[in-house]
Amino acid sequence: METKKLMTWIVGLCVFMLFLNACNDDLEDTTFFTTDEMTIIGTLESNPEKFSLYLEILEKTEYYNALKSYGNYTCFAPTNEAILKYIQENFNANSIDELSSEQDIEFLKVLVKFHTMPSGRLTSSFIEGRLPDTTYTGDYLTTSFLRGGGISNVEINREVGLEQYDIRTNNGVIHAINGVMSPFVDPVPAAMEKAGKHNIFVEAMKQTGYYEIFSVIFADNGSKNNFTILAESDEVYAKEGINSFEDLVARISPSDSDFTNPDNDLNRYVGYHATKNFLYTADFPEDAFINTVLPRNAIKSFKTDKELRLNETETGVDDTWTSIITSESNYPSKNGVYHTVDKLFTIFVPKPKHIIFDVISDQPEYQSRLIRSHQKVPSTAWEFIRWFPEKDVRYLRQSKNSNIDHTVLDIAGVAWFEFDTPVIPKGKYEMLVMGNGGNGARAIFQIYFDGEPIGSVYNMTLRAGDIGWPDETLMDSRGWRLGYEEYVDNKGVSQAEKSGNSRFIVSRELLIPEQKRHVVRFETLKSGNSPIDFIEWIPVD
Amino acid sequence: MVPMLLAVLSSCDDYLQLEPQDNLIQQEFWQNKEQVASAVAGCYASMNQSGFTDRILKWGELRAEMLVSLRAGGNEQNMMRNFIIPTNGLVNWADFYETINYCNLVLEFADAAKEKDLSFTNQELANYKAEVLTIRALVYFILVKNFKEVPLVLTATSNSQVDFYPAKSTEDEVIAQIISDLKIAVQDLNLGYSQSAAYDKGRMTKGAALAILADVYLWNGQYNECIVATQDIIDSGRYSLVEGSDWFNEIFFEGNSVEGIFELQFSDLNRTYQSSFYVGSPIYAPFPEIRQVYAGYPDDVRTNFATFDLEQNTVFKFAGVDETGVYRGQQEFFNTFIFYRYAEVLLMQAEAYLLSTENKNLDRAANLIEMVHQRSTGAPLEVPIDEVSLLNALLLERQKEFAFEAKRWYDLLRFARRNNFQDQYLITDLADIKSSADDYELILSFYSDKESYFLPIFQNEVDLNPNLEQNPYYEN
Repeated sequence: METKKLMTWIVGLCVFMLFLNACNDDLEDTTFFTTDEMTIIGTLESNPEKFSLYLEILEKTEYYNALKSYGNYTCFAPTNEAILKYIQENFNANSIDELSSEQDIEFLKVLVKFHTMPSGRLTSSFIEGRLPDTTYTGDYLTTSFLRGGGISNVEINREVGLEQYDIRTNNGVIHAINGVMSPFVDPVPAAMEKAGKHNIFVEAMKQTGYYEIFSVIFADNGSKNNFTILAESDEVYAKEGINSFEDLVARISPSDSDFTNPDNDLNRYVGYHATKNFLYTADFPEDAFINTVLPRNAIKSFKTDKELRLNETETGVDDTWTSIITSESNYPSKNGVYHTVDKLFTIFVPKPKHIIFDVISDQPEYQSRLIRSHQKVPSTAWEFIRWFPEKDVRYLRQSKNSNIDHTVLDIAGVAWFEFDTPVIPKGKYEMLVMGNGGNGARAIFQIYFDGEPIGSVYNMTLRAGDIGWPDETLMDSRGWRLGYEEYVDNKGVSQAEKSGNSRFIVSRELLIPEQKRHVVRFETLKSGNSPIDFIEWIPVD
Repeated sequence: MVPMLLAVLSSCDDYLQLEPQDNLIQQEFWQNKEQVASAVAGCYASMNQSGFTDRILKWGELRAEMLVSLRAGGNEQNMMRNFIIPTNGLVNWADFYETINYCNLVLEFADAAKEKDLSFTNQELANYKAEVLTIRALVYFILVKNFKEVPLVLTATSNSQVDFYPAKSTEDEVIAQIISDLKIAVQDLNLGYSQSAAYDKGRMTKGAALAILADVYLWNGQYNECIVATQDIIDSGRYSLVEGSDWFNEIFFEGNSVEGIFELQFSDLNRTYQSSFYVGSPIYAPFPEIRQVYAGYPDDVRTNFATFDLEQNTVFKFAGVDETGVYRGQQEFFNTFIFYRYAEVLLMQAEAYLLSTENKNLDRAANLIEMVHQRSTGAPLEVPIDEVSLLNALLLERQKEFAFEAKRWYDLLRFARRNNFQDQYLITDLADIKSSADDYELILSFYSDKESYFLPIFQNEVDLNPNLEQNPYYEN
């Protein structure tokens, strides 16, 4: 009897345990994500009627997993229709499968990299000009609103339009585009030549040797060139009565046909049409000089609300200037951009004018973002800044400071550093310098202009009391001026309200005998950390 | 077993009582006149929420040029360059449909209340219904001016029989409904309520319904009807222009002036004006060229320390106290929100006289514009008597008179879209004013498409309602 009871218990227990065992893990083999949103790949896959071909390309080029991974990308995804058209035209192929040679796959890789940016950009950040970050091929994409009609009519690279935009995913943004963007392969001159609207100017570049110079993609120091070329189109030349290269020669350099000679007028004319500053129309300075490739010369840029005026005569009566034809400008290429000017663009001799030279934000390497803030680089990274002895130096961009563009060169522990100035028209100037001083740990410098010491020492350790701040008369007698009111920090406090941001008067009467780039050197007398913001020249009668 | 089951079944009685214990339900609420009255008051109260009045101000001003941002949010700044995407919360119309639903509830249940309450007269019932019809018409008119096509919901969502997924109606359909509602309302509404001025201006009256109706006619190009409607207001004799010298004080500082026709009243502060214009931390300032708008008439009472304050660069109209330059404190924004006033009736009639084919009368139009112009400037308007000159003068007079009163964008749009957008330049020229050196092409592009002059439907609404089609410009 007892055993029977026990047996019942045991059997009962077994049955019970069976039940326990039957508990399945319903969630086995499921992966959990922190968000329900799909990735870029997931979104593309859920719209095969639109994106199956681009997905095939992604798989073939092995970028498939990259766009599935964590991040914040911008993916410009051409539609199936667009890709089909592109491969038919360029490869005579009707499916991605047909593109299988090593060369083809390499090209597709470039294509994908060119269509992908490392940060998510919604259409709300599109502007007339280049987007602030580069694609994985290191190129800037441009967006243009010239066709009107708002976002849905935007052109990218003046080449393709948006089919659908701002598709958000958990690792970035997709913009479906109705064409495939051609990756930039051509440098500016070749791009101009292919577009075929600037034939006379292209010929002039060839004859003067500038075609090769402007075609160099990487400078000697390894950094990428970005040329901005301002050219007359054949149409603009025609209005000036110039219908061939010969007509242009007859106008510019009638008696000298040694076009490769740097002193030849046509050579100088072509050199004057380009700058190493990277300028889409939106980037032209509001009121400043742009140094040209032609040495010792500059283009004067002035912006009104609607118009860019280049080389305005400033006589006060019947002033003339040159503008850029926006609808025929902002054409991107591998190493820069080109624009069309609206009249014959000849070398201009500017009058002295107030020049503020921001030692960082006026540098081409800053404008093309080759060198980022806080990134320590050797002096060879900069074309127009040098220091000795060699060491890695950085610049800072800090919104808590009232510096122009919030940038300063952050340099210490060198015997000297020097800048090539912008082109300064000849004349008599006051010269001032501003850095973040007023602190005992700062440096003391002797300043040299073109190799000659000028002025008394620039002592950045002086405090408010020492320089007479904020009494302007007292300050002036001690060689100082208040900083500028229009440059403020993130709290709205201006340079003028900070004693450390006072401007030091290097010279009250500096004679500049020649229009060119000059050299300003800071020789260290007492070393210390020395954030330098800008140097300025104010014309005096 | 069976008896036990039965016992259980029969004990369910109380348990099946589903009506909530702590709240009134619809059928129990609508018992008498007082409850209808409070429901009507609820319709008004639903409008003096900042979600409602903020949008009235922003929809009417931001896309036009009169205001610039001092510290506006991203949505507002995007609207100021006519870059509006469907996820921009500013285009959410939920507050407007909420008011419409309150109106629909009254229209649906007031009859039942009358049957239960013997003291509730036919006339009272008709008046209440006319008030809510007018409110609903006003709200639909605002929606149609902004979205062009909206779902026309005329039944309350009080039971599950209602269509929760209404599609859009056309502009014509919505306007036809507005007009027919207002015609009924005009018949049934009182001229006034023999109570306070605030009550007369704050409730819908015959004058208010006529003013909305005239505005709708103008929008819809029915100029002869507009002349009749505005004339009815003029003939009622209840409204007049305040003296020029009292322009700022009576109309804007004190509010509910003899000129006011419908002004939304606030039991608390007018949060919209307070947050937008309080002098201590204004969000918006007048655009830099504001002084030029008033140029040519040095004695215009509508300028400094009236419409704006040149020195402090503020919108004085709603934030100021008097011509000495004193401002309202942050807790002193007791402004009404003016929807219609008599000056606008005169200018609406002028516009109708200029544009009507059968009743075109340039002299009468000129006289009407003069009345508003001379009241403030004390000087005659020097304008040649021809249609184009007078239309230009009228648009300018409206700009000066109703600056910041959420009228400007609709004025520009109404003028621009006549004759198939013959005067589209009125809007594309905004790019000149709104752009800086770097973004002219961008802003011009945002203003270039005619479809973009109407707002997108809020993305959430499109997601929830499969029958709701996004407006054409915003399909993506």
